[in-house]
Amino acid sequence: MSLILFVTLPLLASFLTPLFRDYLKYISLALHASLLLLAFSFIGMLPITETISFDSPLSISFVLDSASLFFVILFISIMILFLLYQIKESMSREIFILTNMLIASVSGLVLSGDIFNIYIFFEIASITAYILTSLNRDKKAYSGAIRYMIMGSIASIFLLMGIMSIYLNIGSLSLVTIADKFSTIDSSTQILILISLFIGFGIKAEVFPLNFWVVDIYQASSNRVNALFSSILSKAYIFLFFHIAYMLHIDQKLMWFLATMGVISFAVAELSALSSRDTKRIFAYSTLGQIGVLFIALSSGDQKALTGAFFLIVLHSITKLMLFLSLDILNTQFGSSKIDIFSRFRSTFLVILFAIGFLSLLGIPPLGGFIAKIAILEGLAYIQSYYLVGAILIISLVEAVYFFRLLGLTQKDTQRDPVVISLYHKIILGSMALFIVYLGLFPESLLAICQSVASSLLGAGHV
Amino acid sequence: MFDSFNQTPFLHTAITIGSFLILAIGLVGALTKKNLFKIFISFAIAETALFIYFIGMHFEVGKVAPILTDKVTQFSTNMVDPVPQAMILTTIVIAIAVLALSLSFIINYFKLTNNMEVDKMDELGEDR
Repeated sequence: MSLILFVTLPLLASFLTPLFRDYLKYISLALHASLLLLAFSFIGMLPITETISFDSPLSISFVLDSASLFFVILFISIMILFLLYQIKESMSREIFILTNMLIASVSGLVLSGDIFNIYIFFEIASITAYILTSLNRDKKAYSGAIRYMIMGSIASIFLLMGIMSIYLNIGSLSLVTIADKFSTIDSSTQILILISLFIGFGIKAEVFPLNFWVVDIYQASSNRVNALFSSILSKAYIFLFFHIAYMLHIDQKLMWFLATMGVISFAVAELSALSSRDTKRIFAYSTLGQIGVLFIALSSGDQKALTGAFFLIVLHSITKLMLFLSLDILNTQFGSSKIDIFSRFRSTFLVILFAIGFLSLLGIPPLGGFIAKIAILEGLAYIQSYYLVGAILIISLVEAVYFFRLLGLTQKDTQRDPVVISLYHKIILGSMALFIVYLGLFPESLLAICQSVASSLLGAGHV
Repeated sequence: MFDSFNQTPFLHTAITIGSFLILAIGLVGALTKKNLFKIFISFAIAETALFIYFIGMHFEVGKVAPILTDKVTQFSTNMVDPVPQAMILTTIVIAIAVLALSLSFIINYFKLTNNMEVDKMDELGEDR
């Protein structure tokens, strides 16, 4: 079995669209199930390097180590949950093709072993995201998509500039060779390359000061698309960002700079969420905040903190998928995304889902988020970055304020309408919530996996 | 008389200065223009500058383009580096796709709102 199947199968399957117009949802589910099986079949054979060569200098290489396998499995599982959620509705051709493109491009992003292929998959993922944003086809959707494209174009120009400077100075595009020879480049060129890559990847990884546009995109697109952005796309870019950072062995001072950017991202996002009156924007700010936490943890370089970060990535993907899909039910029923819809619905089920999601994101003990936060804080305390520990704890209080305000609105004594949720949707959403509780009670097996992923990321560039 | 102009170092200098000028034109245009069409055309200009620079820096006087045919089946030393050429060809295709997509978004946006100015895009934000 070849690694290239992760990219080619979804793209080839898209050509089935005109033939099986009525069965697209089943094809999509079967495709992702077989990709998941394919991913599982590689367990125990790691690491694998695969090179597809045309003529001697031109080749494509894919690398599968425990970190990339972890992300491929995570993305495909999230996608399967997403598809299962809407299996009872008919699937549009656009969604079928775009979900396939999304899975192909994010798999390519995490698997690629050379930096130019990363650029190609970066662009495929971007194009997919632009079209997903515009799917509603109204004023807001096109306005969001155009903003997204402006930022995406800036990102791709800077990324291309960085990749070209790397090739001009090193004469190779392979990540392993770049990791090997990067320290031999003179320091001013190094800084130029790092700035270009930081702007290129930073815009997409949604870190301060390059993330001011993200919330508008979330507001423009539908909640289901937001679920995909928040749980799959942003995670792929964050992994890529730190994969390359660890590959290039960047300086401790620069890692400290990334951690500070993480703190500012976290603080600015949570403070903006406090003043926001739109539920989509609040959830988007919360995603940005969690990305800030991930930046703090991943830039620490400590095994324990990284383990916590990967645990948080799994947990945040599932939590945000659940929260955005629940929000979708509310937004569709009331035709509004204003904050007051939380005081207009009557459904114990949804209140419990929101409570589990919010409390887990905050890191309240019996839930999964607690395990992730405590591992991150332990790791940061171990490397004596006490100010980062303090920052996370203090900013989490701000996070608590708006989460509890939302939960408070659900308990307010007002005129309420019942919410119609089908039993099937209840089962899917409920099982996600149960999984979050389960991860909080029995985190050991996932923690062990996250630990091996963390050591694989820390060992990147030492091949 | 023109021999000194036909040397690799001179050509590299000229290409560097020229492409940085084009890059500056593109980036300044993207930052200062208000019309959405002009913004995206500016991005296309900036990208073109990168293409010219990258291809130009790998050009050396006396070498030929790395094109394989039935008779020439291997890259040889009298050809320029084939990797940048392959890279830039791929990038041009991507750039065209992105530009076409952006222009189609702008047309659709204009049909719905009758607006083409980036400053007047106020559909998104708080209180809406």
